Amino acid sequence: MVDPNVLQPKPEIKIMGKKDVHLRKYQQIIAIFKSNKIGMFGVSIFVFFGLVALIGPLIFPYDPLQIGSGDEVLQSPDSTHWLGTDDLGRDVFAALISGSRVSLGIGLLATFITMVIGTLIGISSGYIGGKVDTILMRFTEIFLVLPWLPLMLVLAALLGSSIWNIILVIGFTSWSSTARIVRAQTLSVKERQFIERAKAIGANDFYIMYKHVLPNVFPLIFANTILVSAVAILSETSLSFLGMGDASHPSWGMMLHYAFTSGAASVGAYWFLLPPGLCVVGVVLGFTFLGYAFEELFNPKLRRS
Amino acid sequence: MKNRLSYLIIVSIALFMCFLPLANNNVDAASNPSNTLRVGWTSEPDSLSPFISNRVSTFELHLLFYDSLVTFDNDLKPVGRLAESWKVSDDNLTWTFNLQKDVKWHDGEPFTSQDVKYSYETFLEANMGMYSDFLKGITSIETPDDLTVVIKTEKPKANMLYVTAPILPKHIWEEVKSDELETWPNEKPIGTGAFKFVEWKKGEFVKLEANKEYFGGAPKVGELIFPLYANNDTMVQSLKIAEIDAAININSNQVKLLESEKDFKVLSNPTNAFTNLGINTWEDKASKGNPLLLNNDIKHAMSYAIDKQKIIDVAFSGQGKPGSTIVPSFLTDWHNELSDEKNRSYNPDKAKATLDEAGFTDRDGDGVREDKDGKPLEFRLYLRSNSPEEVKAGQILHVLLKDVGINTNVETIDDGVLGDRIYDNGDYDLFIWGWSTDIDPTTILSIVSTDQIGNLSETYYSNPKYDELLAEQEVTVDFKERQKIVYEMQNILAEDLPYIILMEENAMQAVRTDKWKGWTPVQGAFFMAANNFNYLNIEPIEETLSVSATTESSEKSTNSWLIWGGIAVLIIIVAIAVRARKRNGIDSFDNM
Amino acid sequence: MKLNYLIKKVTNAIITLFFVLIINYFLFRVMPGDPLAMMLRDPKASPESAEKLKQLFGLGEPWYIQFGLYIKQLSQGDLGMSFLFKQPVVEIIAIKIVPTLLLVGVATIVSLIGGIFLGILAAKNRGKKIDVLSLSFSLLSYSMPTFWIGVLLVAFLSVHLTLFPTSGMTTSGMVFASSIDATVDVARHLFLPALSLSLVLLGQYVLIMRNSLMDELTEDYVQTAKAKGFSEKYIIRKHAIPNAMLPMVTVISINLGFMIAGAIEIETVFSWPGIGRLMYEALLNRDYPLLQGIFLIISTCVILANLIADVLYGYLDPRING
Repeated sequence: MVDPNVLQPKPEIKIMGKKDVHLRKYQQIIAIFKSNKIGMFGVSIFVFFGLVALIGPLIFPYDPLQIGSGDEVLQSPDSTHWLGTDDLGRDVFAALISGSRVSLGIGLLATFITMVIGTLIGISSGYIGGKVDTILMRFTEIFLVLPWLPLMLVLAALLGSSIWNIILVIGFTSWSSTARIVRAQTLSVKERQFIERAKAIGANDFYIMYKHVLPNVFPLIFANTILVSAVAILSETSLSFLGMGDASHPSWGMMLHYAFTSGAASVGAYWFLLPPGLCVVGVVLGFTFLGYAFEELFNPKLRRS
Repeated sequence: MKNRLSYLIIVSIALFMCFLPLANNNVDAASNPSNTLRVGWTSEPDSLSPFISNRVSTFELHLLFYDSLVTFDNDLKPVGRLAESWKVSDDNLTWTFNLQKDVKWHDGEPFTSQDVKYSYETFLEANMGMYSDFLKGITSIETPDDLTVVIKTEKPKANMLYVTAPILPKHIWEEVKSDELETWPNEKPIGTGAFKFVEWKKGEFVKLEANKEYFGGAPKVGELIFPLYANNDTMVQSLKIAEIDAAININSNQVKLLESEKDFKVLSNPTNAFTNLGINTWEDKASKGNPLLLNNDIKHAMSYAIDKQKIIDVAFSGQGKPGSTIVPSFLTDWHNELSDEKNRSYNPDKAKATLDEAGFTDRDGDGVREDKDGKPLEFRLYLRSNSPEEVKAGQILHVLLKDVGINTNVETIDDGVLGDRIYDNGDYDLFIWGWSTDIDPTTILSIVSTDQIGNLSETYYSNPKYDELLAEQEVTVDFKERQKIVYEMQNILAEDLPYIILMEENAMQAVRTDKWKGWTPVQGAFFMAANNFNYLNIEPIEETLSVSATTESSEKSTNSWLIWGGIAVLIIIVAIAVRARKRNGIDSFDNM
Repeated sequence: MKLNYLIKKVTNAIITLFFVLIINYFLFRVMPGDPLAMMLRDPKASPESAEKLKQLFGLGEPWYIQFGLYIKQLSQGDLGMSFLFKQPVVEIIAIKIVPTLLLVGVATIVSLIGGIFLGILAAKNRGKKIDVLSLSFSLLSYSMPTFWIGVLLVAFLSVHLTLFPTSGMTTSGMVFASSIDATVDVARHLFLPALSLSLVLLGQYVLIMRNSLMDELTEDYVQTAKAKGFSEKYIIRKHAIPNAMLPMVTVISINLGFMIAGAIEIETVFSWPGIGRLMYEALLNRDYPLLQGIFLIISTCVILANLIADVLYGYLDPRING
């Protein structure tokens, strides 16, 4: 849980301008962060994969529609194909790199949707309270309870397996836990003095929610975002493995799907089966480390002294 | 103390788990004969009832515990099973079948002609399931005595000897009311077949045992088990470590791998199934398909543009045969082997020439040809997402067609969605799907008949001449005459091209040769073949059997030690912990 | 535990269940893919067969009539007839749910016990090697896709080392001398699937338990107790651990959704004859009644489990309990 005392705005201080205060805070954060080894490790993984996703395909272009000749199918690694070929004779290494864009892209975009929905519902529910809260929470609970993979499979079959549909499907089914967390945090922020003061001045609810509640809930949302991204990437991988991925934009999950359906394990083609999985593990690990580091950052109780 | 105790408990449980691999299959030698054949498959029956099921797996099982009057020999020629002999009247309207003597049902009841009459009449009346259609045209069934059946038909019935409908026991099925037939599961089938049904654990396996009193000679396989696998990756791994003796439906990569290993016999031969490119040939204005497809020149050009061998090599790892006509070459009696010319085999230059001559050129230089009004040759190509091979084939197709100036918008959708679009006024242009067919050509020829539009015909093809020929061959009993008609029909389709047959699928199966011998391909397949030859005729290799028999009997009662051992360890640990606790005195904390 | 709390939780569960019912029904009816067309994609079927099947399953009626029929049947415990198997959905689910319950149950217990145990170990030895090791292990396993673990374990332990069978729940068709042997057979087949399924959650539980316990240890009462002279071990055992386990209770029920997802994947990899695989098959074949039935059952189980977890939490948390 975020300790709100760390980042509370102090309207009384007039000596420093607003900008200076923010700058000071960021410097503090970075300093604390740097001392956290796990956090740094997470950042480096994040940066690494980010670079691969952004620049990689430019160096190693990959066309998912291109096919090799029959003899090149499932070849073991050699000098021309560093990680061998896949079940259609394409270069696994290039596929891996281009897949990073897809896997990361879907994960992050879906997360964005999740966070937006979750935050909106969480803050509204927590702040407004009353009937709105009850209805929204019931709604959230339903989504929390509906088993996500069967639901996703059904929706993916309904809407088709294009990239955007997958992003929407994952985004729209994963927001419930975020909403709950944001709501809980909103509830505690709601009781604080500066909120009372703002109300006394006559600020309307939306203004308060946007200007006061949101910034205070934000650090928590941020830490949560990172963890949600990890889950989103895993969700997409599972969905693709079961065959609901987008064939024209193969993600790591789709590569694993092809590996499995073409019997890679039974013919010993581990160069096709292992790398995509390892990449997923790497990225998820990186995000988890990052999220963990941020959690420690915002909750001094967890920090190692 | 408690911590240490729980620690020890956890450790001992972990140890127990580690000993699990040493536990052996404790085989009760009497009830688990060692001549058990295990055949793995990836698709199991939906129902065992001949009135409900449409699946190949069910058909295969019916071949084992049921018999039909007539079956096929290894050359696909009709040969008697429950019918010992038969004759047909001069006008081809009356068939007389003489039945085998002394045949018993699996429950001991005698088999008589009454059973045949009852079975056929029920199939005709119910008109459900995969066998009923075969009996079309039969008007009466008489049983002058227990071993004779006289069947009269309205018109000459060309496929009378291809009827594979199982003969069902009257004394069991007459208990089932006619409106119950649609749902009566037939859970414990009783038949006359070479194998008796034992058990079907849905989602796990089907188990049969040999019928020692089978009139055709008892099989040497004592027990026949079909374990179900959710994917063929695990199935082949299972085959490799001999958990199963044979595997149906492996994929092309696995064929390549197993071929190079000893102790396996692998086959990959064309069967009665094919993969095709379906083209929307609906001429009605309501069609949502691209009207350009009604132009035969475009279809001809497509045929020239497709390198079928390449698709087979890459998408199917070389396991398949380039397709030609709608009647697969597997049906040697009926397949019309067309010349390369008539088949419009791969010739990209000719494709381009055809399009040029028809007036389709690339007027705006974007690589795609247009007609004289500027409409581009651009079509939607739908692929089924649940078939990775078809998806790959589609991707290759896209490249091949692009090469001659035809563009396709490829979309991978799932089965159900594709079906929807097809039936929604033909909301598609091209798709890739497949069919499998019977020994009787009528079945596959009928799917492009006008009758089947709205039902089985996805292409909406309609040609009155073709329909005429279809009806004619159904009543032409003379083989040569009938063949001529069937050939003619294939010629018509080769010209109109509602389908471009891409590939005749290979049955890909593998068997282990270290436990059983006598494996014989029937028209290229061990299983899912036209008959049950292999099940009936393979023999165990004696040496390996006697070895496994002895090891199995010595393994009796070896698993109880695991349980008792674990419990003993647990008791000892608890005893030690309790004594240690007592020695340390009373827990002083509890006094606070 | 306060009666109000109990009533509130039960009412919530019922309301949620009702909404699930509605969503469940309409969701599947909106799906594309005409099931009849799929079933009939066989030259041997005739138009008459089609008509018969149509009538049998009540297709073609307006939606509100079909929905009304559905509710009525539901109240009689009838979940309809499966398109695919032509058998009552209830019967099919009843057979297939047991293997899944077995798998999920064992995996939950293993991951819980392992998670709590390792979490306590890590929290107590914070900063030391054991902590780092168990933390790394947990984070690693938490990041792995469930099915991937499964595939690798099969390849390594089953095929390469032939320690365990590759698939299925039992050795097909084998008749066993005694029920002990039959149980051992199932246990052998259960080992790898349950292990794969539990590994991911184990990682998560270790992390949660560790954090929760570390949180607890910073609470005031711990300092006070130490000052009073209680040993750290006693405090941890008697107070900190029970308090730290409270968050676990909530997490277990949230994780049920994950368990089901994992079960679907694992059942596919190991050919485990459970409800996850059944769902996948039903989806492919557009078997609406079966899909609806499974969805409903799974959702009901999750709602029930949540309710039990809430009640348990209410019982354990002294703030709510009386």
